[in-house]
Amino acid sequence: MKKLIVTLVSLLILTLVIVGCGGGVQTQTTSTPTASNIQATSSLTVSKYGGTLRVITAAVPVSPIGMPSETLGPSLESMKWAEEGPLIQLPDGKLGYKLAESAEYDMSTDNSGITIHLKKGIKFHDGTDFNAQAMKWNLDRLIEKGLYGGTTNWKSWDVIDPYTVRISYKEWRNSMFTDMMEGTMSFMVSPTAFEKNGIEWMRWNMVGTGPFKQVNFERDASLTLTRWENYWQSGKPYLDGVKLIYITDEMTAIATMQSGAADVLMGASAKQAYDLNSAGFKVISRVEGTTALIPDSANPDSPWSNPKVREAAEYAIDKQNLAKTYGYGFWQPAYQIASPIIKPIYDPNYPGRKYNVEKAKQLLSEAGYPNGFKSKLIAQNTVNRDILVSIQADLAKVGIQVDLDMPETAKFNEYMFGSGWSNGLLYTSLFDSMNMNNSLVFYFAEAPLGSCFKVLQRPTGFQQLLIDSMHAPLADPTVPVGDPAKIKNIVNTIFNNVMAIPLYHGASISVTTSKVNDTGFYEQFRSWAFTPENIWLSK
Amino acid sequence: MVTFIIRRLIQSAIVLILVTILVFLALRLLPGDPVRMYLTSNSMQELSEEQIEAVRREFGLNKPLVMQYFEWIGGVVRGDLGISILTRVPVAQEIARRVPITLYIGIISFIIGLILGIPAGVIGAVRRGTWIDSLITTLANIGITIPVFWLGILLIYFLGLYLKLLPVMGYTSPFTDFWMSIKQIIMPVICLALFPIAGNARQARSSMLEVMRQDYIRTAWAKGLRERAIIMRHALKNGLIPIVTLSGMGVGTILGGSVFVETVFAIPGMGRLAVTSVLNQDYPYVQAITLIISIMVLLSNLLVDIAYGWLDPRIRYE
Repeated sequence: MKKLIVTLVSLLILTLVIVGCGGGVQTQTTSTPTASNIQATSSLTVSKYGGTLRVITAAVPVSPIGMPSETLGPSLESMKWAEEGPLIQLPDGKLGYKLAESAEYDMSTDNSGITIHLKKGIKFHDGTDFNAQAMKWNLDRLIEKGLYGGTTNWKSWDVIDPYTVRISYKEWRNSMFTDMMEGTMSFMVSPTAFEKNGIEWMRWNMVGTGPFKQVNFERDASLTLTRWENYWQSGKPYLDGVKLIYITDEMTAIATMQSGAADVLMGASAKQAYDLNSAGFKVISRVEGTTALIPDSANPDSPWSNPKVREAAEYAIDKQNLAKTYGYGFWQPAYQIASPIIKPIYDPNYPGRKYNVEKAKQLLSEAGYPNGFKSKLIAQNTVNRDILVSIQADLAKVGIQVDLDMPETAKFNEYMFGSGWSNGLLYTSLFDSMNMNNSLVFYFAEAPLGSCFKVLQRPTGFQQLLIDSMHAPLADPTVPVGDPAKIKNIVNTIFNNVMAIPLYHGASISVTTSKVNDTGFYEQFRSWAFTPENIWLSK
Repeated sequence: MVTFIIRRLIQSAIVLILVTILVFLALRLLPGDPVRMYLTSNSMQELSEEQIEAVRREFGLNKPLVMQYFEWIGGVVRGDLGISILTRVPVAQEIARRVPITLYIGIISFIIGLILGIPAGVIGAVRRGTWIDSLITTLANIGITIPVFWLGILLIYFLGLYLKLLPVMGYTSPFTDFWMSIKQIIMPVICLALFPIAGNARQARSSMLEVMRQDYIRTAWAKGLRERAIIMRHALKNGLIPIVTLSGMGVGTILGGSVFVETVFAIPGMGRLAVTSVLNQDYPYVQAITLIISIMVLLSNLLVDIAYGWLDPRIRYE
């Protein structure tokens, strides 16, 4: 028995040795913040209290946060604290300026372009200047990597003077001025830091111009940032530091907020927001995005090729109930493809197809399916299954029996972007773009212009409508939202041909404690864009 | 014994090669294209087929499967597990950071499973039919059936929120802050250790009951030996053989449980990496994690076989 005890104790020691050899959690550090910097921050005579903000997010960066040219979507929430771009897009679609002082827009068909004048005196976290050369270096990396489709329309990107850059386009498109605001394309990082430390270091160490500089990053655990003392907006940021905690489990995130271990839950689900709101937390939300069903209308053997069947399905689904049950008061039923944040296009009085079981049955009979038919409902396996079951039940009421098919992401992407599917409805969320041409072309145009839904039937002339809309002139180049009349025509065409069955408009939601102020959440067009430099904590 | 160990190591190597082939093929037979997954999460705008093909070339996914396999296995032999498709980080570097975290929690759970499970089973057997036996049997049955993720959430709410005794999530290295580290691993360890405690208790009880009926134990009682000496010196060692087998299998259970526990408690270990990588079809990570877990399970089985010889000298491997 003694030998057994000795063995167990040895194992325990071995464990500690292994942990020791592993060095625990390795951290990746940028230029080290000095104690004096932090002290200086604390002694700032600002009326707004600093402190360290603790933020929970489920958006774990799965791709490099320090090299915007290699970044995937979920990394944005982490990058926004430390990196910035020249332009921003305001909720009304108007261009706003961040690192840029102003911009000029050339809408001529043969020499279109945008000339961006940068602010002076902005420094990266390594102390080097942000200027036109630095911006060009960042644009070079984007082109070199080639991951951003929008750059394929760039003819040249040139330094005009030390603080001016011009991007020239190959052909005129009214959405191209928003290229520099879509995703991480716009984020600028230090070329000097790259040259000094190499790409492997740079990938996971953000050296941007943002209000906070990275102290360390533990993948799947946390990101720690400290105040950037030379931030270009005088007196800002107010916070001394920020700690992002990556929690993917919804219940754990709620418990962490309730335990007082965090101040903000970014990107909360409707259920999380409802629970935390009931517990006294502050909820900031905005209705946006459209979740829809896409029928395989182009397959001649599919019942969904009949427009009356598609109409019937839309009438059969109780969208009001869907939004109420699963949106906990944060979602809205959807009767059009345009989401409420696309203000130039969204029509709150759109007629839509409201829940009407009798009409659905009548349409099915007219279509030759009085007893319904069998089909399937396809959704990514990350979708809340209960929502699909509700849709399944609604469709069953009119005789459409659907089996659920919930593949993993890669297979789902194959359906969506690859060869497509047969006899089924694909459940998907459509992203918003203030210039709705971007999303309409992406989802509804035929290849090579569009990328999705190969099995979707496009009415004759639909592709040309999209092309015309993309190339329409802008009434005001500083509001690059396209031609609202042309876009509304496309939205109506989609509705009339039931190319998509809109279900509900979801919501972007964040939850905070009562002491968190001026987050700027959902005050810009992009849901991930906010104003970290303005956040402060009440004492 | 040395010959036996060498023979078992060779067998393990063969099993390992078969596992690598199976995992490699299984991943590639999964529906979906990792390159499309990578690109479509990246851009809301259209990309040309040439751009997609360029990315496929960059990750070597355009080569024939056999060549891809031999390139990967060649790298493994040199200690190079490849580069992640998504994070662009060398896989070996990331695994080296994660394995100690998972092992730290896993080994403590394993040891607690033995320390608490075996004595509980022995007490149940020795005090058979008493209230303590009933209690141990009932608790062991409950412990075997409780789902790990449910227990995790229950603990978070009870110990973390209601009693406010422990932090609800997170991980700190014991070398950074020892007491915080201990506080943070209590709940994950309870979750991971519960099944081994219950399993070991049940197995220890039944094998001890079996041993206690043997003639040599009756002889020991007849000789007038004390109960402690009979149980500890004569019964337990013989009763341990099936427990050792169960414990060997328990290594796999603990590693499997770490997938749930690390997700619920937001611990950046190998289990959480496995979940993310499988969901994202990040081939290099999934292959490497499977390889590491296979090695751990094979090694634990080898140790079990060696332990047999120590526990029962009648077992000879030559």
